[in-house]
Amino acid sequence: MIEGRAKSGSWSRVKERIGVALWTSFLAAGVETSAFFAFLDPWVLGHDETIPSWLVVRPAAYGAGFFFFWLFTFAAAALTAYMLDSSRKVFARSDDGCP
Amino acid sequence: MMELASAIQSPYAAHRKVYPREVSGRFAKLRNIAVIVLLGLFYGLPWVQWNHRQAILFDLPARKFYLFGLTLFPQDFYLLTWLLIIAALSLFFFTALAGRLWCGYACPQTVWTEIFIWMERLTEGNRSQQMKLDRAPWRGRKILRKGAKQILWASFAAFTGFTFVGFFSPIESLAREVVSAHLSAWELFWVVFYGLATYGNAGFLREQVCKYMCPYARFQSAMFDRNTLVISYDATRGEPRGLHPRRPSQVGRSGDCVDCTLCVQVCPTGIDIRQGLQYECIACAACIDACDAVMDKVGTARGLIRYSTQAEIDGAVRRVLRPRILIYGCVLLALLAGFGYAISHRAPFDLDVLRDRNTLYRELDDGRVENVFSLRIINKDQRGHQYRLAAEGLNGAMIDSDTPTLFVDPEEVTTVVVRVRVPGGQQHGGRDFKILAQALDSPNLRAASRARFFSP
Repeated sequence: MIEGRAKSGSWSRVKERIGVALWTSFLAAGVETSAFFAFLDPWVLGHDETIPSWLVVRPAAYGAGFFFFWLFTFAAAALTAYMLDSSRKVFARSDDGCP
Repeated sequence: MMELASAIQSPYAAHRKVYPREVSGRFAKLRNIAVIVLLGLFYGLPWVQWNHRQAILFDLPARKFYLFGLTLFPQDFYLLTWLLIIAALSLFFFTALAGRLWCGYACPQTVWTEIFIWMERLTEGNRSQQMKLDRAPWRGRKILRKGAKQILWASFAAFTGFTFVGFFSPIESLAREVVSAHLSAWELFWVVFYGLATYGNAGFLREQVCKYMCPYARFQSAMFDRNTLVISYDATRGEPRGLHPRRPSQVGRSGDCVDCTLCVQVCPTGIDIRQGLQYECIACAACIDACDAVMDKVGTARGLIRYSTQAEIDGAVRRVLRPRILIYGCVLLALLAGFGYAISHRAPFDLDVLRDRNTLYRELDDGRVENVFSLRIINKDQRGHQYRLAAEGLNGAMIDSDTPTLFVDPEEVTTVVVRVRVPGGQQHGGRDFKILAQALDSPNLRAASRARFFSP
């Protein structure tokens, strides 16, 4: 084998988790953006004056929407990774005899 | 032994750079053809014209997708979803049939990595020259070769980003904008974004994308069964490895594997196929080509490493037609047929009604009540049509608009503001009704949309 897995809790493990979370959230944000804007036209939204004027320009709205979604999907993915990793640590400790 | 360079800094820890050795043979040829065809399609398609416009253009600002003779609107979004489901199921079907064909030959990650490796070989030389160069101190020759590689990579990545944006923004005017340095901020941003992604994925991450990032690599084994084509090492024939078969003392007790490790050196993911099927294996068949060449030289039969199935290795007969294949195949066919039907029976035009949200209703001087709506007519036809608007389901309702009829150009969307007026005192509160659009030149072309009329 070329490499061993990074040790739990190490900086490289954190980087691996961030990388995976970035990637999965990127995919989810992409799907979310296309589904969202298939039903909502930023140009029509702009007619209600409920959104800032620069967002009425469609490419700007698409781009901003994508990064908005990415931010939140990344937060969810990163939190999931953190919860799974930390639960493993907690349960590993409780296996030693301390509940 | 396998030679490895020292660990390099990368997004994933303890990663050692893989230096895949150059390989030639049947499957390498096949892979090269796949690279040329797929990259040719990617870089060439945006330049193809169809009916005086770009053949494939996802025009996001105009909210229209052009696919040769077909124009898709946001209302056809379900077709795109459908297409994605078909793509996913095709992946399942081909995986069950022939393993990771997708990974080895068609995945963009593989295809672009192949091109980037090719540029690396052009500037840094073959495998051993690359390893020597990486160990050498940073002096003239190294800086020159590495610099040349980076320039090649960066320009190719930038061109890739440009082509990618060319699928979304007409590529000919995009090219003019690049030449005159007039790219819009968003165009520039996405060119750089996609260029950087290509550069990072194909230049540096490479097999790590398959190992750590790709979801398909993780679940593809769910589609595998004993009759799926996989690349496997024939251990019964190969072991014990390393003994020379021609030495008289070893005749009869040596395997065919001469332990040259070429199969390991050519592997783009750096695994040893002789340890059995591993999830890192992207089924590129480079090890088959390498081993076949060695077997030819040694004078034994090819196929020590070959495409095979678990059943075959265990001595059973290969079965291609099995329930899994038939089920995947039938579902795929049904989806394709449904997709074809949906495309050919698309409604030729759509009508969307949006209420003016600023005022619920307005009372006119003559006592009538007025509601304002904005209508969107989406003409998906290749011809333009004249439409007449009408209100249905409201007593005495009249539609007042700036023009009595409305002309919508082929494949265009027109928005018009209309005022619906009813005599006063007839009703109170909200009431549902329909707005109709009828093409004057064709009685079959009509659409209705529900709306709500409010009165005091």
